[in-house]
Amino acid sequence: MPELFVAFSYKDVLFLLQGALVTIAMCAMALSCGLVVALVIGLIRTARRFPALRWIGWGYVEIFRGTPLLMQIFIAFFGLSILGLELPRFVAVSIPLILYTGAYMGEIVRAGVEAVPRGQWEAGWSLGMSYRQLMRYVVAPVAVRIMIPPSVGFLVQLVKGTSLAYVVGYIELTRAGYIISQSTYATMLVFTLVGAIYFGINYPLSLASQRLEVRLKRHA
Amino acid sequence: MLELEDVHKWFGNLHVLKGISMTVSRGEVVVVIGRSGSGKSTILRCINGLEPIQQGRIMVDGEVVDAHSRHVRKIREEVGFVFQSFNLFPYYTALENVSLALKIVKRMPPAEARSIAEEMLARVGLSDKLDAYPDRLSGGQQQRVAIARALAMNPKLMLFDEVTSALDPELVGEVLKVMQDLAEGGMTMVVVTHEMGFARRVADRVLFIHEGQIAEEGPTAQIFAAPRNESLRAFIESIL
Repeated sequence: MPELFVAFSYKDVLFLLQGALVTIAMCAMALSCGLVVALVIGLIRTARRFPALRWIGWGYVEIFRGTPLLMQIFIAFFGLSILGLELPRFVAVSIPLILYTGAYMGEIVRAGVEAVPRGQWEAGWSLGMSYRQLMRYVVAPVAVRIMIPPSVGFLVQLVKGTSLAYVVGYIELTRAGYIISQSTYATMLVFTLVGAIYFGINYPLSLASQRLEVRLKRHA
Repeated sequence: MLELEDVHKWFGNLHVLKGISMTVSRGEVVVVIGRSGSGKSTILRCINGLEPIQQGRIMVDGEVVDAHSRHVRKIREEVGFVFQSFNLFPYYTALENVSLALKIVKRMPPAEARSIAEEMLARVGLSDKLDAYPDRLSGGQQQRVAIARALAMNPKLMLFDEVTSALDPELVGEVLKVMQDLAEGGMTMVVVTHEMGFARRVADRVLFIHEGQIAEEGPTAQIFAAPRNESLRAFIESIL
């Protein structure tokens, strides 16, 4: 047994942790920018008065949810450079993740907003509130609480989804694991470790969301 | 104060209001009665622009209500609306429910908004519930908070849409009491209700809506004592 791990040193572990940092950075990027996209998509999908906008939002969501993330990463990564757009690799792999996040989270936003009872809107309107005031002070407090569980579900999926960036040679956690397993032949050990790190990122997210849910559920 | 001229409203192919014309003067309390589905709630919802109308004209204090215009927001500030299902904001305390619109719509400083909210909640008898969230209040208390919330905006006109229909019978009285006080204080009110006792005690005038039209209207005493319209007679008999 031990001879299998001969070449496996603390440097390899450091390399994996570096990959994990890249993975986390990609998620942070995808989530922060993706949420902005999601908010726009979610709001135009619920805009009763502007059917044209609703259709655009619908088309966006269907396209990005209906095609594999892997393909989106390929197209963004190679397609952009074919178009002559030489972006830093981090940005190039982040773009499809942002758009993907925008589509899924956009649907979560839409569902959250639509789940707010009609009476809440009417109460706000009857007090003379504008759309923006209504959204911010009346709809958001209710909708955000509804959105938490599916959002965390998506976030966990996103963390795992970033592993697909390995196909374009970008060194994140999965690619880092692949490289080390090639040089050390400790494939099982390395990928068990990689899996454990993904789990170590995701599990606290689930825990945090459970706590948040309990805290926000008061007065519902 | 309030004027409806030949108002028509369709929901798709369904013609729900078929030429409603009515006026309400300042300080008057008008009670609207009629069977479920007769269109009485729809009238109230059209008055503050929650529903657009397709024909006719609605004027509140000299201003035309157009549900699609931005201006409707100004009118809504002056028209209080109380709903059957309370519609309190669940994550705000009673005090915050009442003060929220003062702060964001009327742009009042927080301290001023708070003191008005306290005053309004005192008026509906809820001074001891300022910090309670809606889920800790009974239906009657929630509805009184909703009334305080509408009153805080200092409206010229108050609309009540079957505000006691969702309440347990023993809680109806406390809400009607608040409304009666309000009427005696000179508030202009249009009240859709099934509470005939309240109508008799408080209303200056009663409108009977039947199939989207005003089938009969008149002073309260006359409507109940000597109804002329056949369907009104049947309605009153069925209720009493």
